[in-house]
Amino acid sequence: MSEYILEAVDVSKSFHGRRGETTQALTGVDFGVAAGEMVGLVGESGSGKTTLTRILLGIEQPTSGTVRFRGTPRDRFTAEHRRDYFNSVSAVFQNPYSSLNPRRRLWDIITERRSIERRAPKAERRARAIELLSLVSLPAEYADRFPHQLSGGQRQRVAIARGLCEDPDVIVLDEPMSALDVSVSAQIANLLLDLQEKFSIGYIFVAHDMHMVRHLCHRVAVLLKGQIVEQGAVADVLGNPRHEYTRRLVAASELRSLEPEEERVHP
Amino acid sequence: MSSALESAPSSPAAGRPPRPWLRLRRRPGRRPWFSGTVMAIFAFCGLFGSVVAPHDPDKVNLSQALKPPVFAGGTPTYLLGTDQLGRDVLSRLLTGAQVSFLVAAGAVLIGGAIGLLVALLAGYSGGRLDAVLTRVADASMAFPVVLLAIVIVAIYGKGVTVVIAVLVVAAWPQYARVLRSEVIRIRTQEFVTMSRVMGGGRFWAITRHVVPNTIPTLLVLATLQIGLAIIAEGSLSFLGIGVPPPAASWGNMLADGRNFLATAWWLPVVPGVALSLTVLAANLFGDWLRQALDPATRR
Repeated sequence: MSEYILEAVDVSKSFHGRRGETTQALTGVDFGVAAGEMVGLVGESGSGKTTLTRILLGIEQPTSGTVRFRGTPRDRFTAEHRRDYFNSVSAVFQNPYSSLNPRRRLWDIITERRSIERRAPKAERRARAIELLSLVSLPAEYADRFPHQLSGGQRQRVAIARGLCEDPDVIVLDEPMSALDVSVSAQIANLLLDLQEKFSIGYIFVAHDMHMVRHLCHRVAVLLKGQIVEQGAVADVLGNPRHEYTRRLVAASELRSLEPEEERVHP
Repeated sequence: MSSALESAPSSPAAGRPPRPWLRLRRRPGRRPWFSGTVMAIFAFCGLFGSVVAPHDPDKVNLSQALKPPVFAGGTPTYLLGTDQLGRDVLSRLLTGAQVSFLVAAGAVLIGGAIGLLVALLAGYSGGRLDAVLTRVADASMAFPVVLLAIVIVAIYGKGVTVVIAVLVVAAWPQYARVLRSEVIRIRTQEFVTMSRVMGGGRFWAITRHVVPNTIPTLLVLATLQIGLAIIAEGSLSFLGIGVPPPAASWGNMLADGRNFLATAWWLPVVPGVALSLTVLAANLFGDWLRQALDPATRR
């Protein structure tokens, strides 16, 4: 069971509203990612996808249950664990226009993790940034640019380069293509697959687009109202959905592909 | 077609429509000649005014009273004329600039620092502390500055320090309110979340991400406040609760000079023009600074 690098074990999360009401965002969720695999996380808005990823990333604390990293629960982390965790678990967010600090140059953004650790001199950070830029197919001279000089797709490449800085084992991808147009998001998808092949990174891929999940992911988990209703290999879950909700999701995605607007995009 | 239009860089031939008469948007990369020069002169006089002053600003010489400026028929000895006590107006203007500069710098730096600190506390903590700080800021904004000045002067007496203190009390809520919403806007951006994912703590996020991104707003506010502080010092001194005479300040000079508007116009006009020009320049300079510091318009 513990082949997962990063996993949520029986995680529940409730939020307390201003007037004392409680919202149950997650209920007893078991979810994990192993090395080199891509796990899709699907579900409608408000189903708890983002909350789950935020808990896995340590931004949010679960109300009950634990997050384990390489088998060690988060609350039993030593300083050594913490450093390993911050180096090995990374993320790429949805909106490339707000995920890069507009006042920093790209080399500085990409290697921010190294300056948090306060161990790398500037020259070394720049060299690493240039290395990472070439990995995401951006020219080295971009290192000294500012984010506003880049297009959305290029910014997302920079965000991926930042995610790769410390050779992570897990990257949480929170709808990384949703702000990009179709051709650019295909390029980003290919880039992510190439990187996975090269470094055998485990991806958690939060998605709306069922086609993307079908083409990219090995496994998929379906979230509904804070609970995982179905989880397994993509072919099983999406090919032969057991739960009514999954069936509706699949049907909806197939319906969408029949719409005339879609046909014009792919003639 | 006139040759002037043809030689204009933005003629229709260049593919752009002809420039409207009233150009509201300034060209990027343009240097702030006017405001920069005036601000530089103001800063210089503010620092070295009493050194370069040709006469002792407080020296009374009744035989030389009410001499007009040199361009209005006066003598070159008193370039901007003399007041009713025969004191050199130029020297008083220059030493008065020191008061204005000190007050403006003090009020802006201290007020801005307090405002930013409160904004960070309120915007970052949220909850009860945020609510309390916001109410305190609102309450202090509702309190009239002049009344506050009278109270403080009644307790501590007059002086430059008191003027600065009054202006700091009046100014910090303005910074705090605007910057608080900036802080909240910035800290919810994904690059701040990402810094937490990478193990950066609150201090890291504030110093590296939040504060640098509030700088443009802070600078624009600060330059506007320079203008307001100079005016406020003038107003307080004019009302007699600012810098105590006989020390020269622009507000004092205006207050003394207003009785001579009909007979010796230069007494109120000279400090008035200096004050207006400086305030105007401060506002224009702030405008330019905002553009120059915005990375989206930086080349």
